[in-house]
Amino acid sequence: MLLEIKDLHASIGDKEILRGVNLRINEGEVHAIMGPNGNGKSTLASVIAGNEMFTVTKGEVLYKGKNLLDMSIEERACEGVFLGFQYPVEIPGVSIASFMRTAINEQRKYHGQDPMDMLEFAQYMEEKQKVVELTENLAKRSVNEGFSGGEKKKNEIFQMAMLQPSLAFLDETDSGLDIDALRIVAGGVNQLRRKDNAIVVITHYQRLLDYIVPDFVHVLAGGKIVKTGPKELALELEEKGYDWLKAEEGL
Amino acid sequence: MSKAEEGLNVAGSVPAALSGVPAASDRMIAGDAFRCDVSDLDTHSLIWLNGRLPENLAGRREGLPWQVYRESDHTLVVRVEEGVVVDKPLQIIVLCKREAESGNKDTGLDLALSLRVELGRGAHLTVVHCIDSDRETEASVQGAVRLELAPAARLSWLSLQNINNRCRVENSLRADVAAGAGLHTCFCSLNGGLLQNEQRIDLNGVQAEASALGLYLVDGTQKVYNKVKINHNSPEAHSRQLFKGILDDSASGRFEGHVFVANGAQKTEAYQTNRNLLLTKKAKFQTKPYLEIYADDVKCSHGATIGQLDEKALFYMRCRGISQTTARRLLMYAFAAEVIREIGVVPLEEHLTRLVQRRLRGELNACEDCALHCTATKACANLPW
Repeated sequence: MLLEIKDLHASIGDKEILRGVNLRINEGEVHAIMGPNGNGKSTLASVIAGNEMFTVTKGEVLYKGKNLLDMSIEERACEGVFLGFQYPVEIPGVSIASFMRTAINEQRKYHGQDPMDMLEFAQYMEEKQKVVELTENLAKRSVNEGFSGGEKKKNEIFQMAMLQPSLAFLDETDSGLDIDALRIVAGGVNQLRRKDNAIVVITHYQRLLDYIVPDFVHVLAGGKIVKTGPKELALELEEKGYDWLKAEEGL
Repeated sequence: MSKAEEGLNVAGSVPAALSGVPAASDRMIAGDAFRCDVSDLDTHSLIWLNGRLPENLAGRREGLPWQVYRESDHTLVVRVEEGVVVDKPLQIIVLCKREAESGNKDTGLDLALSLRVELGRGAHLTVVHCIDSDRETEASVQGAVRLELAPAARLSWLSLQNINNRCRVENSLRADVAAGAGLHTCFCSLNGGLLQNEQRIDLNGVQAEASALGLYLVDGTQKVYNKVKINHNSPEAHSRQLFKGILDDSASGRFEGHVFVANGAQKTEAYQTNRNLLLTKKAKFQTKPYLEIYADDVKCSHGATIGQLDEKALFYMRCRGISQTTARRLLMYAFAAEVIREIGVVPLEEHLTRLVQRRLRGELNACEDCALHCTATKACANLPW
């Protein structure tokens, strides 16, 4: 078991957003989390990444058998947890190349490895840029500064390719993408699927799941996972919306 | 005792002649301890130790692209004749350093230094003006700088201040910029008890240009004040002010920027920006942007901010495995780099980059016995940013 979330409750201020999430993820699996706006999908991803805006009030998260909630944000990343941001942050003055080189070398340091030398890094980066057709020109620019919506999301998947996480939460990676960009981003994610990692895509639209075919679809509503099913569940949701589920759950 | 400590000197530290520029044939090496070590940067350098001007400057010197002479005991004049383009920077190092036998142990130094730079029509010069101290000497330095730029002349003035906390500097710069001439100043304050930089730049002809940059990184109880006034006395002149600073601990500072556009100075363009990062609740900064405009066809703007490091950016970086300490440093460096990139002399930008990175890691103190504190900078060259 790669990740086991047990009865997770989390709040922001006085407002409880997650109200008992249970989820089990194995290596080699792709999970999709769907659900209405404001019901906790992004919060779940943020809590897994360690965002300090949220307070975990109850429950447990085991990652590779260890208590994830005890780890700092950067420790989680170094242990292989990745969050693809819904709204990637602009960092003026820091190029993608130096940002990634710092990240990779900090992760290597964490694992007791020597830093990657310049040449090796340059080759590695060039190779991974291809995953999402990121141009060299873009890689020299400041992180996300002035990027289009599509460029920002490609950059997220490029970073995932560089860091090779064991567990990736991709938060609305499809939002703000046109069809071509969606195909490239989804194609990138598919290239990164492996037997020893797991990917969780958070999305509103079934469309993304035509490209990234999930093993499981979960519906998160009212701060809980209210339904889990095979990929066909996404089609049903597309057709019927969420109201029937809410009614079923008494939400 | 090395020669330098005897109160020399002109040290033309690099012998090689550059095209069109006579070699510093009168090289008087001031001892290795004071050798200028800005990597890849050829400079002529001149050391002003504890306020004593080099004795041997009494007469004009041959073989240098400028004339340097003493006008009085405390006044140095640098003149570049019409049309001469000096491609090696002139480095003037003001050094406050305890001297074993000079009796400045208890009383401290009180230095008043005056410098005049005159550029003839079309002349070009870059001056790197460093004020340095050893770790202990108490000193008060009053630096008066007068810059005169004839039409179409270009002068870059980079002032670097790295002194101990018992030292205070009051720099006052006055500049007259004629038509088509361009003055670029950059005041970079890395350490010092009290650092005051005041400048007044008069743009006196059409298409005169000035850019005034400032970068200050202060901590402890250090204080830094920058005051800039740019007078647009003529139409069609351009100016820009960009001052950025990071204040840690209980450091404090102030920025006063003033753009004056005279009656009739149409087509003026003037921009003013001041941005500050406060790293603690005790750090304090006051900023006073000010535009005074008596013409109606102008483009002018100002902006000032005082804020903290971007928490969202920190979270984003930590999510990629970058430790909080490194993430903070990377953001601070990126903040400072906006000023460094504007300097326009690549080896100086690189040198300053290394100094700023060391400063942000808390390694750069005022300082070791070298005037430029460069001994450890090469070790930093392999850092990821």
